[in-house]
Amino acid sequence: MDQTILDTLHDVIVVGSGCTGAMAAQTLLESGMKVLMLDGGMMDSKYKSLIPDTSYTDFRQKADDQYKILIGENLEGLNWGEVSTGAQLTPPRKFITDQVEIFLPLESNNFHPMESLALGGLGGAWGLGSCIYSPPELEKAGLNANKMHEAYRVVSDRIGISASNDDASPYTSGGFNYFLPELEIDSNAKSLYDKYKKKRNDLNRDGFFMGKPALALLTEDKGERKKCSYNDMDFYSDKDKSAYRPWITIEEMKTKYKNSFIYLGEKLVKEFSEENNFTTVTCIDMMDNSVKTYSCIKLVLASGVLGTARIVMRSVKSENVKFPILTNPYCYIPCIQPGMLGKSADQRRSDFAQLSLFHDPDKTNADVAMASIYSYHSLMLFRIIREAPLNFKDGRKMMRWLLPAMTIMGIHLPQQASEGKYLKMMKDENSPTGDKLFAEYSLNEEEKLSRKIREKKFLHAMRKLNCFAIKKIDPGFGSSIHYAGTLPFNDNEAEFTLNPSGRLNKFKNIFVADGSGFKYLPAKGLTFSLMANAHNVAKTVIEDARK
Amino acid sequence: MNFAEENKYNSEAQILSNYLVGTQVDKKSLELYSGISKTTNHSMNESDLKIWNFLMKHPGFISSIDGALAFTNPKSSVRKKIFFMFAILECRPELSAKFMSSNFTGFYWVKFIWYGVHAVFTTIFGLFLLQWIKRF
Repeated sequence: MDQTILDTLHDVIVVGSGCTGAMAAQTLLESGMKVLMLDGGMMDSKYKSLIPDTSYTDFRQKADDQYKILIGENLEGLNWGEVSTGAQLTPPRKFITDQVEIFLPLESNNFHPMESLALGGLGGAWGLGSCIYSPPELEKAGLNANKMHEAYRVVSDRIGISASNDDASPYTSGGFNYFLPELEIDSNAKSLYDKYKKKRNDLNRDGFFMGKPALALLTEDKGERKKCSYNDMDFYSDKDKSAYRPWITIEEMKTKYKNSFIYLGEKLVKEFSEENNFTTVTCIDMMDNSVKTYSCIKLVLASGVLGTARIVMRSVKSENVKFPILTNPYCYIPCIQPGMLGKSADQRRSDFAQLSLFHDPDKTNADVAMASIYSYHSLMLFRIIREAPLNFKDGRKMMRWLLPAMTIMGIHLPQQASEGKYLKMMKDENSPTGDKLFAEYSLNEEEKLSRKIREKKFLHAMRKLNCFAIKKIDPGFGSSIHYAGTLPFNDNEAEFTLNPSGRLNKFKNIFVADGSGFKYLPAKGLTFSLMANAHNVAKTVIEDARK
Repeated sequence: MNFAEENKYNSEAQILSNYLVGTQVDKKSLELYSGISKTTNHSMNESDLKIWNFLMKHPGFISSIDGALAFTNPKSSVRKKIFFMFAILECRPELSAKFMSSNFTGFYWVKFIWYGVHAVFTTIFGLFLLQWIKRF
């Protein structure tokens, strides 16, 4: 079988099984093309079977070996270091970053991204935020608004997105009607939302709009996937598949397209080389570091912005080339709603964002900042208590009372390219690929000032809602886990850019389906747009193949 | 792990459990505490070691020193050890009520203010105590 795969000239090779790889592959397979997917393929073999089908409260009160899931069998979930990218990953989700340090080394003083070699990629830890980009945002990013709106509909039908009709709709669902009914929110969020409704005019005047988020979380059953059960276990388990994860699509495709879809895990794609009518893809087998090559007519890179940058830099073999990079500046701020003190926390809830607060100062939906609002419940007291300037004993007693009143606001700001943000490749003899990525990410003075002002405005808006900040936590650049802009869209055949259709300029058969082409990174989570773009790129591949 | 080391970790776990939740430590928590103490680098600098040894001899002062360190040196190795035990105890089902939010009685404000005042005073005392320990 392995030899046959090596000897075959495949219609398309898709690199990566994350949100974009899964969407691109599905579109290609639906059109009748044969697809080989090459992927890191890390999976959780340890915890999946240990997670009971119960609510978080029941689990905490009854499960004797809960420590395995909450802090890890080897206590790997206990982190005493600085709060950094991926701090929210629980032991059952740690597999998402397995082997990354070995196979995807990166050096930086100020950019600390999360990358993945897992089946489903970073989609396994996705917060499910599914905002559409507005036409001005799409234009700034270099995406075609008409094509994207059609693709948003296709992706929404595939994965199931719930959204509501409220003040935030222009920023979440864009007012389109192909979404599932809205999710329930917990009492903490309801209290905040009620205050917003009372002060709506005042906040709207300042450019703030609040509503329920659009999330890739089912509110109705969809095939084998069940609707959200609000059992508060979402940080630990995807058992009912109510939350969309790309591995769900991959597993479905393995069954549905037995004859036209091949998935190969434990393969790290190193580089490609394009001949006249075919492309050769060179991989490192992650089991034994041996080198393997596969051939295809069309190659679709969907290995995440940083992964794709590595592959392109190696393949083009240009010395000292620098790629631009974008990530949303991100911070989170625990706040207290005094009105909620003394009220018990909801047991029936989901762990995802409960509300979204958008800041659109000129009300054009062109330069929007976004805060996702969470309640703190199932991530355990130990994660947050070490941030409090209290002894652990009194801290425990006080935090138990404070938790139902605690609201966490995660602020994402939009970002565009500038000089101080770039990637380049360096030699590294210790790495299996012989190289590592170097990243530099610094804001210019204007960007720093703008960031400060906007974060202050969010705090001011929250104060108007009687919700008071305790502390700002800045996990550093890269912690938003949103990356883009390494191969910016360009209509001309410029080197290291993408054609607006997703083709790598200067190449005939190499396409990029992840966010590498986005020239601007809106603050709204990018995953839904990444998937829509991946669908469009796959459509281009199909059209191109049929010519 | 030798017998003396095992005994040392057991005794530390017992003291920390008493401090954090006021109960005898169970077998599983002992096992987990010993496990993480073996595998994690708990190497302490001279000053932290002095504080830790003092606390193991005089456990009644842990809350004061813990509070003082939360202000002056929140990343200290002493706090790290307490943090690990805190997380281990939080995962015990029989102790879940001590860590999860619950229904509140009408007196919760009184209790809340008492905990706050207690924390402040023990911390102030701890700041003086910390100076004293470091001096000797």
